[in-house]
Amino acid sequence: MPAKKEQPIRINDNGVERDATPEEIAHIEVIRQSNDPYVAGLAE
Amino acid sequence: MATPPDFTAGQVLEANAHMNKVGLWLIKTQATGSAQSSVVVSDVFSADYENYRIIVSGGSASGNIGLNMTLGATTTGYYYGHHHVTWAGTGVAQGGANATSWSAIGLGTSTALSMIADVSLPFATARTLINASSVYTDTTAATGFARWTNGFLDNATSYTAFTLTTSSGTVTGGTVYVYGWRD
Repeated sequence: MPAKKEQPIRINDNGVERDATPEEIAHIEVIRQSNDPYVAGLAE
Repeated sequence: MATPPDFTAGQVLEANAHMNKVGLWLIKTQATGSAQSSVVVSDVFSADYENYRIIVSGGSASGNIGLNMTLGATTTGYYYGHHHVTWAGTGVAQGGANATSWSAIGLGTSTALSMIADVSLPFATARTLINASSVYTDTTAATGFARWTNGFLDNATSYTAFTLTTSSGTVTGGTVYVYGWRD
């Protein structure tokens, strides 16, 4: 069975919805380094 | 003449007597869109206002998430303290120092997105301050909560834009409102 294709990360860029660029995905990952541990626990 | 805001039909609204005393002006309304991980809101901060109110309402999230707020492209120097109280009355205090965002300053569930934030001096070449509140719309007394966040961004950069990034998952169908408080 082929691997499930990952959904692209989407950005609403000032009203325009599009796939995030690799640089923007890296930027999002940096922002998520400060994720709230309490809220992260609720997501699990 | 009626005293603002009790105007009468057909009354002429004068600049100094009336309109220059209006406190809050809508700058921008932006839909979050569907299944978005990040919402960039551009061209909202300017020399027109020192202070702003940002509201996120309506819509939903793909799961239980926080909305992390950043200004411009900056991902360092965010300081904040959270305090939240669950429906059961339990208090939780958290903080972040030199963090990569104002973390979970807004909240999202499958039933709502929630954030009200007053932002001071984002366009000025000075530290930006933020005072915010949000609601986590879970009916479980132990985990549903109301949150208050206060903090600042430790630089003197002038910003015109901000971004809301989900802690995980996506947001759909919400609206971001940006208002300026008249100086």
